[in-house]
Amino acid sequence: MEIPSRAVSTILSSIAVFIGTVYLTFPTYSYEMLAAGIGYWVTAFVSLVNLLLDSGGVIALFVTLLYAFLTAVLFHVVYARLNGSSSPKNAVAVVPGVLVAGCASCGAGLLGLFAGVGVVSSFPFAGNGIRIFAVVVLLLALAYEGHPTTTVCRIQN
Amino acid sequence: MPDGEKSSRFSISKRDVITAGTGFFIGSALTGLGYSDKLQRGSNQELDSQNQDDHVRTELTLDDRPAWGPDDSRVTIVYWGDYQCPFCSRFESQTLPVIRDNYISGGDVQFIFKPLAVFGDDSLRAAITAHCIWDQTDDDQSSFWEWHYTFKNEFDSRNSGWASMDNVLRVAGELSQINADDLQTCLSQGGYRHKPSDDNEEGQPLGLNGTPFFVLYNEEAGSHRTLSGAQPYERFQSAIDSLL
Repeated sequence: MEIPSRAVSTILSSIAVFIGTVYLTFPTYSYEMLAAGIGYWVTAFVSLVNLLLDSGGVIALFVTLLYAFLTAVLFHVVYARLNGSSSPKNAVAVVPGVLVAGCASCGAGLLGLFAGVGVVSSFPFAGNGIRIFAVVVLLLALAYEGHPTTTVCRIQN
Repeated sequence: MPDGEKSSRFSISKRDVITAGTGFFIGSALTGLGYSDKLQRGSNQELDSQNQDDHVRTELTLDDRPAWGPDDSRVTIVYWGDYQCPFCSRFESQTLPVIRDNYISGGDVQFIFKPLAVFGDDSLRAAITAHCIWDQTDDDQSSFWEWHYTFKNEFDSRNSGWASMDNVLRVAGELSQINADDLQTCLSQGGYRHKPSDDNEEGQPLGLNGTPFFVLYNEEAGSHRTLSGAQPYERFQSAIDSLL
């Protein structure tokens, strides 16, 4: 059975986004571990996945995986539009998703990097609210991307 | 759409998308480089100037903070942590005992704890309690750390009330070295309420943006390192050995 190349590309992109998002859970820790040597890359990843589970439970892990998949899908959809068809009016919808990506798995996270430790404590549900919000943003972007009013010219009667 | 008729819809060209995307990524890269530089200076570079290390040392308030190991140790590890932080718990259960056995017990390292209140009310109460307990036991470090590990075992879920006054006093009452009445007085007075926020503010210029966070320094040699997160023991060993 032949697997469409776009499906393979989407899966690989999802994995890459998931790995990147996990590392963004604690940016300074990830930076130091990755800089320490390739032998620490897997250790850091496993530790951060465990941290994600400890901080937000299975929900956190599931939502982060879902976020990674939706991000990959959205990027592929936008790329397809940029690559051949007419101007994508709502391609800018990618930007909020990218901006939110850094916070999608905030434990101490990207928010902590910019705003200091303690800011995450102001968010309820152990940061799961942020993660779910990121997924909602992506779903809206995907829905709008496929909306007929953005892709089809209106015929004036 | 008929020629000459302007679209009433907001339209974005491919060039607009590319420009916005390029601007975003350049901005991110510059921001990332700025942080990378800060991390590089904070993490792995040795400061040659005694004045710079004095700057690190004088920035830190270490008096009246829970400690482990002798005051005259060559290397000091300052640890910012939270009683409800899972990454901190991992460090304390997996790595700290090895550091204790290999360096603290031998007098090479003094370990100083700065409890923060990152994760809410129970964190704040736990941090204040730690200061009150240390106030009672500073001549007997082992009593503090026995209380510390016993109290941490009470944690079940974040801000569930596990660090309520009743629970705090019950745990203290079970340890012979702790005077529960004195503890209750200390907690009621609220004298240590500001310390977690003071420690938080103190740590941020040094690179504190997540817990656990560590500054390791050798005052005599004029050098220091920082470590973020629950890194493996080998990373601490490498940092400590480079400072000894």
